[in-house]
Amino acid sequence: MTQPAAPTSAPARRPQRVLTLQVNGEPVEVAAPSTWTLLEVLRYKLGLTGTKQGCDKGDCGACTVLVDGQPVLSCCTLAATVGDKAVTTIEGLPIRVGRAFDIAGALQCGFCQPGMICSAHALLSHKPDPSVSEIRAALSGNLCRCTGYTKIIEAVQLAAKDLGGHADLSTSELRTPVAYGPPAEGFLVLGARGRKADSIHKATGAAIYADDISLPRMAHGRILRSPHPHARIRRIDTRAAAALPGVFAVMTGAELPETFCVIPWTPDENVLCIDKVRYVGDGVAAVAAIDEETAIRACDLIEVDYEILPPVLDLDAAEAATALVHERDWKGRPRVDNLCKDVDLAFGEVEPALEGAAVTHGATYFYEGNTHAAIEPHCAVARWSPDGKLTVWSSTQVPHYLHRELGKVLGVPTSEIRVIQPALGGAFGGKSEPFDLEFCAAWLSRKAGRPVKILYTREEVFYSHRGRHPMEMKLRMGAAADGRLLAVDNDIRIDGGGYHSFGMITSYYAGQILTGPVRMDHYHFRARRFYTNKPCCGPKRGHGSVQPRFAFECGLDELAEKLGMDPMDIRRKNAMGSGERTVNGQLVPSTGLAACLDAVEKASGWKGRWGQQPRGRGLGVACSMYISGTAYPIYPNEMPQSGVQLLADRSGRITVLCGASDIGQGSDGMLAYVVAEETGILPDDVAVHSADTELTPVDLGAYSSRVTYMVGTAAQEAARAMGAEMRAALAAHWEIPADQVGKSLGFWFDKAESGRQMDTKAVLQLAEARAGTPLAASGGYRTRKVGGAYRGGTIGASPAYSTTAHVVEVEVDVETGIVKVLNVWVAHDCGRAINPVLVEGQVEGSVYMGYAEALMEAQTFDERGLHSGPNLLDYRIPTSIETPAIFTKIIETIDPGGPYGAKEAGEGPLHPIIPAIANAIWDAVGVRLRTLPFTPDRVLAAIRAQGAAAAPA
Amino acid sequence: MSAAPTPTPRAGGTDLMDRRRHGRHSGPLLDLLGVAPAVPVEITPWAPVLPAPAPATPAAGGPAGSAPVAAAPPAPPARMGLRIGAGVRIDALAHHPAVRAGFGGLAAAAGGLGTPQIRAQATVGGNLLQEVRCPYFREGLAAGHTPCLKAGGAACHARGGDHLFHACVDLGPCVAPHPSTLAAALLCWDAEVELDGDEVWPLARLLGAEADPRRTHALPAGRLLRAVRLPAAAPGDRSAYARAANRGRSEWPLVEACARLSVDPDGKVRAAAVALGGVANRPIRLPEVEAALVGRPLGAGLAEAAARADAAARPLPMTGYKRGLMVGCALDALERAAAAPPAPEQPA
Repeated sequence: MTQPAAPTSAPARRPQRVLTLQVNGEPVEVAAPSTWTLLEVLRYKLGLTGTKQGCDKGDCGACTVLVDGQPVLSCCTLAATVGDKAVTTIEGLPIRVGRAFDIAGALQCGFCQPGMICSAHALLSHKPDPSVSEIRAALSGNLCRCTGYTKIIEAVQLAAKDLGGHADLSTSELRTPVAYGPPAEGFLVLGARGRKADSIHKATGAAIYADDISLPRMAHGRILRSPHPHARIRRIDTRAAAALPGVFAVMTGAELPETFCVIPWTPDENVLCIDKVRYVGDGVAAVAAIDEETAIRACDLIEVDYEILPPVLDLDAAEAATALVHERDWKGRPRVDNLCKDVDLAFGEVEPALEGAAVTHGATYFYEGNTHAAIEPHCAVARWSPDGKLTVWSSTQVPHYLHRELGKVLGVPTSEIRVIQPALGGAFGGKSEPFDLEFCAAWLSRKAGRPVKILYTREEVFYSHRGRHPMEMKLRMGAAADGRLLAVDNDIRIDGGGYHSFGMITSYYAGQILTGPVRMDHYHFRARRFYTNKPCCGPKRGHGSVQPRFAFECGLDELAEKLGMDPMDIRRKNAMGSGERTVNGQLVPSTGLAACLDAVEKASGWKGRWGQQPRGRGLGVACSMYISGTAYPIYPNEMPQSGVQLLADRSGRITVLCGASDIGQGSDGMLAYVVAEETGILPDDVAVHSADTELTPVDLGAYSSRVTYMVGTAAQEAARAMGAEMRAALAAHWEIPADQVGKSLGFWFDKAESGRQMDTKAVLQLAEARAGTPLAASGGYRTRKVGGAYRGGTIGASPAYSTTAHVVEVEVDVETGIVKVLNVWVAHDCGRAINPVLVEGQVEGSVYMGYAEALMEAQTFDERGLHSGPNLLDYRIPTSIETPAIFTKIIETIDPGGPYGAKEAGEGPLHPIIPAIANAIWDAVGVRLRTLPFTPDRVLAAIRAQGAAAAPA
Repeated sequence: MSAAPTPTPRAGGTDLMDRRRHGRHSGPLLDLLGVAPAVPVEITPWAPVLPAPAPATPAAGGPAGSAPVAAAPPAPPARMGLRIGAGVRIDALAHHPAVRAGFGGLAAAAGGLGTPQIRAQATVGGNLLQEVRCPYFREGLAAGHTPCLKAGGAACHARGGDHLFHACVDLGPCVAPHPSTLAAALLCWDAEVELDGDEVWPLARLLGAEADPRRTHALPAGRLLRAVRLPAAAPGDRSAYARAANRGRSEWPLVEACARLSVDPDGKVRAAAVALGGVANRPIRLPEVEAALVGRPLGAGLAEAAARADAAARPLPMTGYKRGLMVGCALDALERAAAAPPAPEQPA
């Protein structure tokens, strides 16, 4: 490629104003347009990218900075109005509070934390010893999506304690080891409470996220989106946009006609629409310009001639095929319906079993859609170099799949493409497939001859969606008189939105993961996913299985009621044991359901409180099981699903190269722990480089809760190989048998001769000398054959399953229908807890997210296909005020196949909270809620209906 | 393009920046709170020059706002009211000692809205003049459609569309609830607003703009809202605020209520004022509830009175649930007001 010519006309520069600001104790002078906000000046003029942009309009608090010591929303503050007040950003704050956040495990994705830490700092400055409710109130303007606020509150308390209630916040920094707690018995590091390897960077604003990247000559891209849910594109005229001064490139879908999909069998999407738009927000053209404002103006100048088509906006219309969302399938065959996937699987004889049941229950449940709402909006930066090589930095949780699809759609060998995942500001499944912005940034970069960045607006994030599917479930189930669960039948309709995404997998997961940890004798499900003219749904934490779990666990409660059983007991009665197979043929190597139920029963004081509290207060229980990775890769191949390479250097450090995506869950930290465990070096001396397709061996990505199990296994294999080389070298050096060599943290020793030991760093040098090559090792996770022997039997099959139980306590106001969740007790069986702090963080975050789905969140659309509130204000996500107190108990049922016995912790614990809340509402006020979310209007209507039914005729 | 457009005044900017992000506002801004603020930024004692307004209440309050019993008692001339600058931040209002002591319901309303950062940034004037939250009005991609009434179109789209969070008292044509929490609270004191040029309006005249349903307030273009005037709190006055919301913070409530009870030395309610927000396109007073309270001992008959809080309700198809919230919130506010400490005697 040659360098393109300079734009024909000079770009229009807006009038600038010279401002003098006091930032982090220094006077700075910047020229900026007078309408620029403080956030824009800090990030784009001063390079202080620690201050984050989450919503850009005052809803999320990520942009909080201190102005004269007070927390201020920099996105709503015009820079010109700050005057000579002292602005302090995360970069200028003393490290003390951030350190407490780091140690307490309050940093997951870290994106909200600079703002959060500013708010916490301001609180502690005037209130050195705040109460929990004061902390909750002070942080209520900073939304966090990862932590459930639990560890954040602990962090502020820790900071207060650290400061002794009165100390100066600027006290010098102290270093805390990565693993600071005692390890589990028999281990060097594993089981120790610890920090995450990278979190101090997040706590100080130093971590670089995609939007923090700025390259020389970088242009800003923008995608023009359809205002119509369903329309044919007659004509797109981009001439006026292309002629606008400051515009470098304009593109339309026709330039990249190759279809794609994260599931390679079902490619039904184009980068930008070519023939039709299928939801409000579907992309139709894209522009790269000198700045965002020019790009927006250019988009406004693009003329699209639409022929409006009748939209399909709900399941009934989709099933009746009132219109066709896709007229052809991905093979070009004409379609006659909107059915995207139809799965129908039966195990045993459901109907006779239901007929023979002592009690049966049948009801229709509806789970409203909702979305991830990670605080970081999607962002991609692409640089297509003159040598033809493309580098894409993207906020993705699947760099490998993105790498493949970029190659396919752009028509370039993947060897020419490098995908790098920078620090990621929350994902939850919402960044687990390629999005239009990555392709558009790349293509526009090629056309413009400049790097191009595209950052979604918050509205675009909501419309890009790929979140929880709305599901309607017609559930029937029956039990014997002794409580044995005989049969379950579930007829599910899934509202998929405009495209396929992971739809095939969603449809299977809707049925395949329901069959444990509560045993059932006979099972049938049918899951039909329909296309509609709404933003495409996809995987959200607990992909596909959260919705049926809600229906099932509510139904189980109703069976217990009919049998006069304690809801705890019907679950115990049917609890699976380790090594059992589910009715649909999945082997569950380990499950700790009984221990989980015992733990939450005891912690909640269930006995004596359930069913015995005054009207308006109640307890509910539910449980669930979830996969630790999906058994097979998305595209069939014999290569390892995960690879880890280790390189030792003479300084005593080991570098880990791994494709795994740390999306805030802490997989980098997990890698450091595993390598330390096997080599005896301190976790602090492990340097993890992850998710860069040019440097790191492939890992398939952060989805299906696969990382700890699969990446952990690969890391264990690599680290054991390196440990073996170290052991052999030392044994040879000391001239003793290898099994006489012992290792500890920081040194190796002779088991037979007390006092004879060698520093781990020296052992590494010894091993390198012996090898005669740089000391390196690699490991992989190879696909294990699991799953049922029937079509679809491998989907939902996993090498291991986690188990969770929840008890929830609620208060229901019978006058207003407002439900308050007071306490959540959760016991989660994750097998070996490698770092309990991170496990707790995953559990608490799951509980929070499920709580939000139960009571608040709804991704709904009106009759024109418009979102009912695509921003972080109107889409209600919980703040620190109402998020309930969460009490987590880790249950370690060691799994025979997992690394050190570990299983997943990131998704399973989300499932039970929703039915547990429903069951608690029943205990509180005697109404069964079957439609989510449980908003005051619905709860009140149910209570009123109950009153009407009870009233004498 | 025509000549340079008139700059839009900007105070805290929390609502204006949001609208700009949504493409609902563009053009130059006039910063009101710079080095030399263009509107007052302080809360000061204020003595009415003229006798307190007669019980005749503002006509613009609408059907529910014109009840004779609703009038606050005339304050003794020696007592001082408060003049709250339009540039006063919400947070400062919530924490001001004189507001907390004499106008507890107003302080609580201010302290509960938005988030700590919003309260530190947003102003009293901006809160009263902010635009509605309706998605049909706000959102960018909605801009490709026929605009809603408030965005220059002919009809309210929420009325026939999604209006779960909208009006339960249909004062039409726009059914988006009035967004100002402070407005609902201030109605309980029959507050006045001061415009530039020393023009004084009853607050109710500012809210709702009946003459032009496209507007959320009646402030003429080019004019500035300078301050809010509160009459003096009478000794024995007590007030409180209550809200029902989907989430605890960062939320416009589904329904909110402010109640003020003026109590005679004999312990009987001399005057009552109860206002609701979140239920109509402007905050409303509840004359039926107020009338039921006057003359009763403080704390008596609250539930009976609050049961009339939905007298004006005319729900839309999706907002029937708000009837219960109207009653519940009114009762909650009344119970809290009855239990609240009385306004202190003013120091001489």
